[in-house]
Amino acid sequence: MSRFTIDIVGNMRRWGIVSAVLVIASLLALGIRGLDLSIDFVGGSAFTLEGIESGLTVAEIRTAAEDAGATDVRVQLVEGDEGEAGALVRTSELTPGSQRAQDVQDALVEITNPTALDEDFVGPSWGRQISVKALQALVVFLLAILAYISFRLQFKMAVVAIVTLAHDLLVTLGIYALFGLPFSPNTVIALLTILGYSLYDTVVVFDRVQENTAHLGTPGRRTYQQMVNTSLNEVLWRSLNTSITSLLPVLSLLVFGAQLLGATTLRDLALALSIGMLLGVYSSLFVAGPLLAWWRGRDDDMQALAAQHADLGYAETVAPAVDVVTEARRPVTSEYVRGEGKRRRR
Amino acid sequence: MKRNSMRASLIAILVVSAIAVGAIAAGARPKLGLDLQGGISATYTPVFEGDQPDDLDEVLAQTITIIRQRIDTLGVAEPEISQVGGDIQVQLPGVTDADRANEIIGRTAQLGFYPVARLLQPGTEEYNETAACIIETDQPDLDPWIPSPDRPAPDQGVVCGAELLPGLTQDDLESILESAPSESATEPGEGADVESDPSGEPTPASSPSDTSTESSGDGEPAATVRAAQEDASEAPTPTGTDAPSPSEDPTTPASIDDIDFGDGLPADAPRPYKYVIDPPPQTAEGHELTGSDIESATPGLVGQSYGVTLEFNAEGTEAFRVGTSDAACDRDDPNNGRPGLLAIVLDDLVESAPTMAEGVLCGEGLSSGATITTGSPESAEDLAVVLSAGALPVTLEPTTFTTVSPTLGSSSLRSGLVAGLVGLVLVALYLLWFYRLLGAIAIGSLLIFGALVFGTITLMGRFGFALTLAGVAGIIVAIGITADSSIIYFERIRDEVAVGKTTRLAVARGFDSAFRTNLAGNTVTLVAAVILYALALGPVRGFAFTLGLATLLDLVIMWSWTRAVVGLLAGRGILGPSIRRRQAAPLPAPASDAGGVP
Repeated sequence: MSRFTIDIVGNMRRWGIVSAVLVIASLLALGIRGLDLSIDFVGGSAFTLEGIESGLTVAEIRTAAEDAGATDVRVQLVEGDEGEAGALVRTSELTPGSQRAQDVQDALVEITNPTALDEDFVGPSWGRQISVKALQALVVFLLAILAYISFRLQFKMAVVAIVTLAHDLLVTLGIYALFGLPFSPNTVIALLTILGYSLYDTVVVFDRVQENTAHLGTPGRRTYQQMVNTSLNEVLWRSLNTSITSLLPVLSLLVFGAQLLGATTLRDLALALSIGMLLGVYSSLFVAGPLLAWWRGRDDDMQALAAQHADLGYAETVAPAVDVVTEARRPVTSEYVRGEGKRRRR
Repeated sequence: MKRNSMRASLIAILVVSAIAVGAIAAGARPKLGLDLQGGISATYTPVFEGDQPDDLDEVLAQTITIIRQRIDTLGVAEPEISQVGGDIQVQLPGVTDADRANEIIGRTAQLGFYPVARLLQPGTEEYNETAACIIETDQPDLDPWIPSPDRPAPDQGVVCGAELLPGLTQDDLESILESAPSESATEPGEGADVESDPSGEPTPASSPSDTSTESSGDGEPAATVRAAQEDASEAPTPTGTDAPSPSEDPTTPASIDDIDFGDGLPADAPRPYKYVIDPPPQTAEGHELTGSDIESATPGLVGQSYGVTLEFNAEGTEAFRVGTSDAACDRDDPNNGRPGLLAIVLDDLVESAPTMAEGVLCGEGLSSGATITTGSPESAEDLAVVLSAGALPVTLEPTTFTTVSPTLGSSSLRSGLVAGLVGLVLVALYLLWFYRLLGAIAIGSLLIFGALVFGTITLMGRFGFALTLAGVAGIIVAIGITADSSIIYFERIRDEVAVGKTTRLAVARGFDSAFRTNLAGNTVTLVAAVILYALALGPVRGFAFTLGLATLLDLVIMWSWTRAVVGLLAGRGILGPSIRRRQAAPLPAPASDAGGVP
């Protein structure tokens, strides 16, 4: 086998430090800068102006809106679908149909002369409602996943999977806070999808670990750590290829969605997904694997195995060399042929 | 046997995909959501005066019915009004006038009772003096005649009926000319609509529904029932038997085309009656009867017919007594020209204008136990909804309000499609480069995936599922999931071959474990999708739906397409090179591997 192998578990400490730094930095960014929440969470009005007159500055548009009675005005100039200029104007709440909303809208139309104007209004209670709903969905989701993985694989794997997930989530949020990226309901959708992806990757890794665990004992050749490392390397190509094929469409979404005025749905989704998918592949290999190896490796039976292993004179903690891996997998092959059911039930 | 099952599943999936492709080629398209076709999407939260009522769902359902009626005046092809939690969600595709939509939906229901002074026939001079009741829309899927936004309102002394009369034809006109030259008080068409009350006076009736009588339960409940019964039996009396009212306007045009209706609509347009109304009845203390005086309106069996039982508050009861008494006096006095009707007006339209039953006496009226008989259970329900609207202690406040212009919608759709196609091509190229022939099989699975997703969503559109931008994003994300199931399988095959199995064995064994892994992973994604769909709001649901659908399709495709094609090709020994490609050179000799544990 010419496959290159990385000693992931052996360098556990290094990945631990990387992840710890990421998490702490994210917490700091969240604490200090906070998230740039869209009007969907905090309430407010937004106007999308298409095909506006060129040469307008942000300040001109903002002044026009403020003079008409809008407060907390934020203006963003965008390039439209066919190169024409457009603008997104966010203000505090202007109830649709009210005089003030009409005034602001008239003022914006007067100064920008757009081909089309879209308005968007979200009352303050709505945002609270969807935030609560999203949190509810998250908690139910985590419980369901904890139960499923415990049932399908192992309880410790379930806990590690969720810790990995929390890691991904926290770091993604940290990146959002650090770079001041807009946080909308679409970002929440994307985050929940990332949870799915991250778990999917972790489940694929753990599935292989579980499969290989069956062949740990008899020859006593490998410690739990080494076996996890081998498993990680075995699914490495799958993880890389899957990530590439998942990222390609999402990146194309980012490229084609980002240029588009108003289609913030696509941009918000694609951005969060890109960040989350990259994190997901990192964490499933470099967080979930080592964490499981460390935690499960502390169990008595695995300690005993490690001691037996040391007695046999395999002193190295790094993954066995390539030819050793091949040999170690041999019993896997023979039993594999004999029957799956028996092997899995061990 | 195994090969046969592979062939069967392969044929099945190809046939299904071909059907989907055929449907798409034949012009079937998914139903598009608002953000892709333009329109208004809004959520309204009901705000109650005082405490929230116990029967919130019922109140919301009634409010939705009222909104639906009002939205008809916007001429929307497929409005969607639904209850979402404690809110009401309104989706108006193709509507761009945000201010008017908001005004129409958010307005509090205005229900009133008005004594009818005169009933105006379409085509008469007096009818044409006031603003038109209806306008014509150009929406293809819609009844072309909708209430005009500029129709007369009660404060102008004239209101339009809600129900449209059949349009005038030349025959109608001629029969009118023959039988009675008057147009002001006779029916244009069939006499079945006309109600004659027991005293035999001509009473150009009344209501859009079959509302016929109003009768008292006060003191003599038996009389109520009898009155209602009598009326029902007399209802089909033909117009001709009653003496027509004296003619007022002898200069009737001879041809239908010569009639100027004054509203710019063709002569055969179905127009409603117009009602000339007086101010609402009031008590001696000056309290005017309005819909908010209604405490309850219950549909049900009234005597031997269906109808609505009304309860008023104290002031309302007295004002209603005055109103019914006056109407009964009008009924008993054939010479004052008043039809003796009490019009029930909701949002500037006469929903019903019941006549007074025999039991209602001039000078007394109805002081309690008012019932309005309508005939059928359905019409009773409809009238009860109208009457309840006046009693709804609710105002609607917008919590979200979003407009999307059609140009923005279509450019969103375009960039979503472009992003999806580019993503698909990139993934296809990568798979082909990395897996060669196997990659081509994976591309096949992506194409089948595309056809099936598109087909399913188009089919779901028939049942109301609308594809939104978030849904498009869900599909694009699912491209990765579909590619992944192939990748897991191919990597597994390579693993098996690497430890010395034959291609054929590796393909068979590899599938079992790869499918198990994929099932585990997809279960997680599916759980996520289901939970998102069940708990989330708004666009998240569209995303969750397409993601969940794609996950299920992925399993189907992996089983029926990937397994079958790889299995069949492996049997012919063509897959070897593309499996061994990456680790071909240092593959350990099978002989050294066969000996078990050294």
